[in-house]
Amino acid sequence: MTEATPIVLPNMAARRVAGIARAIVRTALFALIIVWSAFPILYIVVSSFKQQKEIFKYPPDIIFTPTFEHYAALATKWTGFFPTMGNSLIVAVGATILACVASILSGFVYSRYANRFLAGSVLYLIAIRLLPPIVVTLPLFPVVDALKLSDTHLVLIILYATFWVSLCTMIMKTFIDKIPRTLDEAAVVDGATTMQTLVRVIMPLALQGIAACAIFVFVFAWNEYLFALIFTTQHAKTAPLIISEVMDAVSGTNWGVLFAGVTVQLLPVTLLVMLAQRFLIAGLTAGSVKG
Amino acid sequence: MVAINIDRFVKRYGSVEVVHDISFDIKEGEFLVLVGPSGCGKSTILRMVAGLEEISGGELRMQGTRVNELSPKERQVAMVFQDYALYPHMSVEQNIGFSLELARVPRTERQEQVKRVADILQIGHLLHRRPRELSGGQRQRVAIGRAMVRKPHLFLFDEPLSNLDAKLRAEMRGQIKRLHQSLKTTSMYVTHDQLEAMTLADRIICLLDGHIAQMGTPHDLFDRPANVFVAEFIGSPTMNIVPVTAGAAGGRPVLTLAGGGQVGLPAGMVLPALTNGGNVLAGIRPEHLSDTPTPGTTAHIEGVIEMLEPLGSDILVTMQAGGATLTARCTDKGQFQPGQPLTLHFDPARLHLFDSKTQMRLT
Amino acid sequence: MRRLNPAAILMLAPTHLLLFLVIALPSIYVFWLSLNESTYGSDLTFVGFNNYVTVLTSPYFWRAALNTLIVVNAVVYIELLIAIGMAALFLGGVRYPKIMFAIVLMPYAISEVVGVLVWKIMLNTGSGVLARTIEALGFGMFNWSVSPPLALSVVTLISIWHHLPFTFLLIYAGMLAIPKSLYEASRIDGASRWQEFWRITLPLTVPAILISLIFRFVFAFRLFSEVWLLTAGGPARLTEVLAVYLYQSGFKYGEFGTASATGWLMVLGSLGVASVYLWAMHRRMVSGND
Repeated sequence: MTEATPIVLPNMAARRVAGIARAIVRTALFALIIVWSAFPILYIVVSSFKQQKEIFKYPPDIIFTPTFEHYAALATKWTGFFPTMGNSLIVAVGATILACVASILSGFVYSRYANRFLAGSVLYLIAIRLLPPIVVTLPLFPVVDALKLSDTHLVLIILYATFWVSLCTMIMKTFIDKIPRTLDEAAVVDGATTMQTLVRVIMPLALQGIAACAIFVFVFAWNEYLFALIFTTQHAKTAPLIISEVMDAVSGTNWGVLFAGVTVQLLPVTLLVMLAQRFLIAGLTAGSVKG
Repeated sequence: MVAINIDRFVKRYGSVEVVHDISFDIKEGEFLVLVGPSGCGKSTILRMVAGLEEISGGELRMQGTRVNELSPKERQVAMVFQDYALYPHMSVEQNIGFSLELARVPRTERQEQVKRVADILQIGHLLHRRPRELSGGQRQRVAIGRAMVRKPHLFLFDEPLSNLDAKLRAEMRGQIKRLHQSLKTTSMYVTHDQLEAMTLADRIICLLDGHIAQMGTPHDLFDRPANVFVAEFIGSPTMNIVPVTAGAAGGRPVLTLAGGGQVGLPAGMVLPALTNGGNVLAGIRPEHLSDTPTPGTTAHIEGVIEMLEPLGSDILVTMQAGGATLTARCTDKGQFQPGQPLTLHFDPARLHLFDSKTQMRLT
Repeated sequence: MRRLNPAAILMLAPTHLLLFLVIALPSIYVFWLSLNESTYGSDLTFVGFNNYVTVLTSPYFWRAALNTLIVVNAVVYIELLIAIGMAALFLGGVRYPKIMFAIVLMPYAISEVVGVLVWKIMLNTGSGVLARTIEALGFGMFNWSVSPPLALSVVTLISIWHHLPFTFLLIYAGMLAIPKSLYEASRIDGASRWQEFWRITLPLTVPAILISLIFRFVFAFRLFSEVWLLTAGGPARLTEVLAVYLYQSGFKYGEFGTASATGWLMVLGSLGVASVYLWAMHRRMVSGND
């Protein structure tokens, strides 16, 4: 083998300059990402603390004296708001519980049992997600009407849960797959029934997956618009729907109060997503690996 | 001629220092092995030399030039990784030729070089396969081929055999040894396996907790371990280390075991300067204890056989002797029974004495 | 692996009942609906393929289909490029990763309604903070409400804003799964950062890219809220997308037959797109190229 070429010292000054330039560009890009992601949300939140006449001032004031008048006015001037928030909460919690319970049960079966029907129905679980939700609103509309389920919490709970139960099943399967089968067997040897094995052994170890599913469903149900638009009119109307109605009102929109309401609607779930990022990322990878 | 200077290396992760002020040189064409238990800092040192870890303190010189700030490419090192790190989306040919491609070596020359290396390693028929279609041993060869195809100043091996089974490991060890004998490229090899270190190295550096425990030829480390750690780490089965009190009785040196048993040494033997009131650690390798006396074995120790571990032609005999447990490697002729008394003979020159507090060799 | 027993079947029941009753059965019934004329899905009269003829000869349908095609492709590919760039940026090291991820995830938590509201207000011609900034920079009046291409651009923007976190995370997770030692090997082999990205990172992220493409095409095809809330399809139905066209014919004009026909065409379109990428993925798996 021939001799290696001698070591050549590079231009260290040029390298340092390039390194600094790179760091500057990277920092600028990160700053851009922050602005892109956070600015629209902060804009609404900050505006909700401004006086009505300051909201559309241009250029906007960065520093101002915050006012809570719009929040105080929420209950009096926008009487529809808090009841719809209540509806949103009922529907989101209901859908989350329904979807989680169903997908824990089915995810366990998909992980632990083998059978030709199961293998085939995995494809079905994936394929059914390809269907645009708006398509099923058409046949469901007359049925929901006939069953007197229109404008109830239940119809939204069922719809929201159904549209997530297939993905959640795959997520749960992926997480349960990671739990060694010997633990099930140990539980059986210890005298546990299948249900006890699931509740006492599997579920505590698959908490991350359950959390991921719960967050996905909750965020979706809390924010959903299309189904709420079609299937609710009054009693079960959710917060996104009433926000859309107010923003589209031809005249007399009280922007300050609207922004205050929007802030109340978005803040809890935004904080939830920000704090639970670990579960979201884990769930997303688990769900996507399986298609 | 010195090829590489490692001068007062320090590695810190935050406030935790994992490599403490380590210095050594590698001579041109030398095969240097860093050996030690996991967490001793051996891989970190290798990766600092490679340019994959920042050097927190100290200096790395190649051909006398400081290269701390240079990239691996500029340092012209080649490396074989523990998990091989073959590119899964490239064929064997592309894997081996990648560095040449990046160096803009023309296509035909590249193919020639790859072919030449592949033939040496006997993987010429695999060039169009993907890594995942290869067996462990074949992947290992590709990883070595990738390092060989270049003309590096330094070969780096990061536990390259640890993912192979015992048989393949012995085979690849031989292959690496042959390659080094023909290529003579300066090499630095990291392993936790003392047998690999002994068989491959021109020189071994034994590391413990980010310090050099001992540096020397395989013979140095085996015959004159500098401390209890090296004594126990090098050699298999492990050296017997027994706390004893050294003294004199009847005009000759005597070692007294914790349980009161005594081992008389030859009258002419001079013990090293003793510390701690003669409380020392005595060490002897199992292969230096024998159940049959020979001309050199002028000392002996008596006890009772506790356990037998047949190895085929040899047998490991564990014996209780006055409160100490000793293992001897003997020829198995079916002569041993647990519970039987046994006398083990040894050459006092094979005895190692260590300070019981500092654990260092007494000379 | 255990054989299926009655207990297991009972455990599968909730999931499969929901899916069957709410999605599978209705989507078959949609096909029947599409062969009938009806008012809001009742009083069916069989008309054969008349509804399909109506839909396929409607200029509004073709306009909506074209808009969908343009917006979906714009959304998916622009979003993918941004996501790849962002993921590569994050892969190079992030300071305060938890905070950065939390910020990046924020739009995911926002309702489409609120997203549209925010962007609509910020881009409101003459008063929105962004619209006025655009004007102040000398680009002229930003009057998207009278310009269908601009309006659809705003729709694209909002849709990307909402879904970028999702695509970014998928791509980033794909990149993160590449063993660190491959990068180290490529550095030893002499690859520059740029070469490392093109020769190692990108080829090994292809599976994740394909998955996110399938996801995003399927989801983008459903695009409804952004358009409905921003323009309601106007002006003059020029910004309608397929889902809006379907909603208009079904719930505004009560023609469930043509709406169902549109629905089936949407399913076929979305299956067609997905199958292209599923096929690509399948081929990669077969050739062992993952």
